[in-house]
Amino acid sequence: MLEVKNLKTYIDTENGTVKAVDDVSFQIKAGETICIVGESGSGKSVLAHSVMQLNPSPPVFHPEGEIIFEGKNLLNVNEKELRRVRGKEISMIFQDPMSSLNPVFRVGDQLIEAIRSHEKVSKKAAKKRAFELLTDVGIPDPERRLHDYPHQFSGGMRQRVLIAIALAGRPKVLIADEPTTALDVTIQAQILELMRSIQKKYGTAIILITHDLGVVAQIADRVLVMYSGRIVEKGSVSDIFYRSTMPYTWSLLRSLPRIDSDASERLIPIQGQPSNLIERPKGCHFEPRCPFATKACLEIDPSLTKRGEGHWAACILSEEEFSKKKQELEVNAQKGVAK
Amino acid sequence: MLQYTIRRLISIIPVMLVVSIIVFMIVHLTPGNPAYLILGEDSSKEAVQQLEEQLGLNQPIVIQFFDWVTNVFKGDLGESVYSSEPVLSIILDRIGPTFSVMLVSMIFTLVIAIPIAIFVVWKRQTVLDPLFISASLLGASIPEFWFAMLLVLGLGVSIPIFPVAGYIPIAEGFLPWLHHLILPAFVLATVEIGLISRMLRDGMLEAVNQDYTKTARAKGIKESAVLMKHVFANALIPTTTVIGVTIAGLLGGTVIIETIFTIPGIGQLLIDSIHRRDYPVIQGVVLFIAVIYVIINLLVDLLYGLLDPRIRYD
Repeated sequence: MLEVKNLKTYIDTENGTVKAVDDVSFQIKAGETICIVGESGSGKSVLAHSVMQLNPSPPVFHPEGEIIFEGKNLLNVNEKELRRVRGKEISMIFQDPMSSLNPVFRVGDQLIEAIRSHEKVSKKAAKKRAFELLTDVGIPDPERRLHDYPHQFSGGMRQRVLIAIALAGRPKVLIADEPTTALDVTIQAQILELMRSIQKKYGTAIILITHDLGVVAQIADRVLVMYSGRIVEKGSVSDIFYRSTMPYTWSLLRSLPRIDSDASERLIPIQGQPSNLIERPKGCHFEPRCPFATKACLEIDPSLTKRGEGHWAACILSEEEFSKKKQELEVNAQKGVAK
Repeated sequence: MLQYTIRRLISIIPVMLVVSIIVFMIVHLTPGNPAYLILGEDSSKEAVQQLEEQLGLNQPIVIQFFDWVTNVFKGDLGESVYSSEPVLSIILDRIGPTFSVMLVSMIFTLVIAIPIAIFVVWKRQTVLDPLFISASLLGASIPEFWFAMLLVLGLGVSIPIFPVAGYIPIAEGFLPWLHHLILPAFVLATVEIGLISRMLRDGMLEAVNQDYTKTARAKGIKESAVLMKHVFANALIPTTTVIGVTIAGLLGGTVIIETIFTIPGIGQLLIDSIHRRDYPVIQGVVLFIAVIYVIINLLVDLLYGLLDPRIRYD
């Protein structure tokens, strides 16, 4: 339904052109949930904004690529066509619910605006639908809440309102850019549950951007791992969590606390900083931080290769080499602890 | 809201008291004796003394002040030493022209500044923005008296479209009234247009990159609607402060403008009264201006509550 092909999103800055998204391809089918994970600065937010064309342009531009939605390339359509897609076909919710609602307008009016921007309905009908939407997203006493201003809502409630706004046009794709990052843990679970129930009810495809691998495990059908503007591994949840063959994904998982691990065990952070997005190194971008890096990694920039059904990874190591290195590293680490 | 308004109105009293002390002292400490000025340089000492007694000027200054303040509280601003008319009625006679100039210039300001600011923000990535910054700075810093004379020479004398001076009350016809006000009001508005449009542009540019603007765009509404509704409404909050200060500033600006265009308003009354050492009128006018100032400030604060729902006065 939505297909991103070889998308490049570059940003002109004083210091040079930042290659925030560099040759990314993926697709999503109706009713599917894909998660895009990666650390801060990996380009996942820029990618999400690119799909909706919400990046400020200039300085942002797309030297290459296509975003194909129902046969049309969104990078080539005119402003009017794009507006028809925004909110009606593809919707987006943002990271910070505290600042994503306009503080000076009533919540109901902001919802009604979203409804009436795509359907020619009377104010009364729009209000009725706004009421239904607020009920759908689980806001108690929606009739009264329609008349409240954003500052009268808590963070979790605001995110619910934003989801209601995003659903107003009955979109086919919902892009959620770290929707739970700014919320506390109990509310996070509620919002994820809400998104899941909405998906069930409306068959909406969800693209979830997150750096929270716990969230990924809960909700995703497929996972895309992004590193320095590229997809370095993609596959099902179990491919990524149990059969990862990409050192970055593996390091990312290793840096997380696990409920079943020994409390005395140390977490292992990924060393170093994400690579420079202006001047890319010649070889693999993860090489400077990779525990398994070899000389060849300095020269070869690996592309995604097939590792299994629907499982792709960008690393020059084969599966066997990777598991061998992994074992060596773990043995060495245990020796280190024993000493 | 009502409670807040009442509280604010009551708080005007101490402000007025301080203002009146300062005004009274400055006026009375200025050299020059009204009795002399009224009677002429050659008048006899006895005559001057008699007039001073009549006007109460021979009393100690503290007593004079006390008398005046008590009368003010009773609603009596005293009588002009020059024309013997009650000060209040003199001021009320002169309000019309001053408020007319202020009103027309405020309308000019808003009608010109708001669309300009929105347009510049819409075209923010073009050469229009730096051009606008220079123009607004020029507008805000242009000397009023000089610009007034330039306009009079250009549009009053060389191409006589507008009258060079004078004032016609609105009762004698709306169009002649407006016709006489256009030049003075425009001069007054120039500075305000520069200030307010710049302020609005800055506020809008800040709001343009806020998350809620992104939400609005993601809804699929038109960019013009995003700017005129979501961005404008938020930028209006800081701009209101400037508009409030500006309206009060107009009152000061009218002193110059009324003199240049010979408009018989409060500003001219103030200047004439200072020349005549007409103490009660000077005090009355300054007090009146101070009251207006405070009331405008109060209105701005109340307006905040309407513009920004996060502010509630209770």
